[in-house]
Amino acid sequence: MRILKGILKEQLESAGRLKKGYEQSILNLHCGALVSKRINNRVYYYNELRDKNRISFEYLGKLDPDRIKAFNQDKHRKNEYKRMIKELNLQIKFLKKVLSLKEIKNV
Amino acid sequence: MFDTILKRLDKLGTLNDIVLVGSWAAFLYKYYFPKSVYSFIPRTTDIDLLIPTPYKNKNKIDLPEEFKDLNFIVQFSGQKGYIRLGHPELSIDFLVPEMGKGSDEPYTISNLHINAQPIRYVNLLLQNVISVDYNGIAVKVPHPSVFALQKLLILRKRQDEYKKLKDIETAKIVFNAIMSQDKDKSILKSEFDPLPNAWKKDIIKQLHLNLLDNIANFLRNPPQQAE
Repeated sequence: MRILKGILKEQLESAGRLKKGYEQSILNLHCGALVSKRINNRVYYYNELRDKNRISFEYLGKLDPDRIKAFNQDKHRKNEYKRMIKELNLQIKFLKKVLSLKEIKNV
Repeated sequence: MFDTILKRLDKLGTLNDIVLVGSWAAFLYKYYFPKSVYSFIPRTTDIDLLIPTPYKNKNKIDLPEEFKDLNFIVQFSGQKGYIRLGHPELSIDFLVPEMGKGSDEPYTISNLHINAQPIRYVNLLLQNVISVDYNGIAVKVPHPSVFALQKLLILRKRQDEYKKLKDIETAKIVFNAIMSQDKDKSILKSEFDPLPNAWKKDIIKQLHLNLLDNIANFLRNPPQQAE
């Protein structure tokens, strides 16, 4: 039981550190969402930014395909990292619950 | 995730230059020993990859970048900033043998774009490396004999009590499996005999302390003479 408790405790610390890591990684990605608008048959891009309930658009103009790809990759990555954080939150909740059990706590 | 990591390393052509150690190596011994003699060993959510130094593979691979699409992120662990590829299911740590008087400074492996943590006594794990077939992938792991001997050697250095207990339990399971196989038993003896006397003394002491007297007595027998 002492081995199990040790593994769970270490796992909890590691999940906390990893969660912080994903949060930091999200901050390093592009913020906002890429929005395109067609005006006079030309495509212009805007960065949609949300601040609580307020939405604002930052004009980016015409973008080359590489920049669009990078934007989309970041958007995809951000969603994936958010999914990882959700997973880690579940792990942390579960580990805390198990570690608080009387049988484990008193070892 | 374990399979995914191995497949990715295999695809990148680096798996052959890496030795899997730690609890996941102990897990793979179930593919080495007959089922009847080897029981379950708890695994952790980190996988330890031991890289023999100097790293000889000339191919330049950006490992952190190659694992990005699997949602691994780069983390820096410890005060020294050893690189770890983190993932909620399984994280990857990189280790190298600490040689001589040693230094705990991160060891840079530029061809892989990583650094690794130098660890004492892991050079013993590289003395006898075997290949285990895991779902069609050849994975290099230390022979169980050097794995179990190393587990006892590091006990003195362990700070965490639970890690000590885990090492003892793991060593017991592996030693018992070895002792049931004549071939592995003689490999154990041949790996133990040439070790430095201080190490041998330490191992024998730990075996007695942890009620593995039969193994201590077996190892203390004089080396077998070649005919």
